[in-house]
Amino acid sequence: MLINRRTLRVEWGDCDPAGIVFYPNYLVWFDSSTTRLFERTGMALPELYRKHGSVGMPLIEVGVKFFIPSRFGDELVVESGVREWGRSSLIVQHRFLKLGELALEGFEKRVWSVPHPDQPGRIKGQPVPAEIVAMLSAPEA
Amino acid sequence: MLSNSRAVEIEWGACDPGGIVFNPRYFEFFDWSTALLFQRALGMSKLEMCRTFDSVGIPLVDTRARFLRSSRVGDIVQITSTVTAFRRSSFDVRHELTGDGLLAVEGFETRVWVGRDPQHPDRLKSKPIPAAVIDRFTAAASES
Repeated sequence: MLINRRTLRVEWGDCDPAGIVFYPNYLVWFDSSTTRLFERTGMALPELYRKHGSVGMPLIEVGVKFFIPSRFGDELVVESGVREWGRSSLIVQHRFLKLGELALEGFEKRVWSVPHPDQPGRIKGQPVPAEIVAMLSAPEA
Repeated sequence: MLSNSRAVEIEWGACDPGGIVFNPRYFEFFDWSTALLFQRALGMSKLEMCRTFDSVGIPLVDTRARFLRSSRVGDIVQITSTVTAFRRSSFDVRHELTGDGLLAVEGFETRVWVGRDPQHPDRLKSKPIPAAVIDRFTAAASES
């Protein structure tokens, strides 16, 4: 599994009146971290979608476990990788480290989707293109 | 157990370029739905609750959601929230978001009752959930 790493800085507006990151913001970072991970194919995600006629990867399930809260100014390292490839679904795992300690971890289950051939306006799942699976499965950290 | 329901109108800014609600927004809805559930049980706002019980809040330790149907700008969705378990210092909440009567998103939260750590005032520390809080949930459920 290829792991993509990125560093985030917790901004003032990410935090709530208790002084810690308002947790839905972690889900925003999950989403953008998945985008960064897919850029490791060498193509930006919108470009990748266009190339393969996809409308995107809607989420069907997400889960997060929180261990250490983070505050304004904290630096977080996010490690993301595709843990599992299903027929048309995939599970992306995200780990957030603060000073080397696991602050939270979670997963996103998504479906590689294309326009439905018979029902305009609807979408359907389709197998993730093999070249993408191959590139993101590379046994490199 | 006591439940609270509320209607939420999906705003433009809650949606993504796919025209559907961007998933983190559901967690914002659920967060405030939990606050409103406590408000209903205790008869006071979240801020008043924190002041009254010397709490800093009820942060999450675990959350999960399943997305079954999408919602779009202008949709009015209904969110029903229930505490499904109270433990010593943690508790579980379940949220059901429906659109046109159909289940669209199901959310689960485990939260902890926290105060300031007396040794390290800048840190949070879990505390037992006050019996008065749990009693109000039980009482409010039998009243409703």
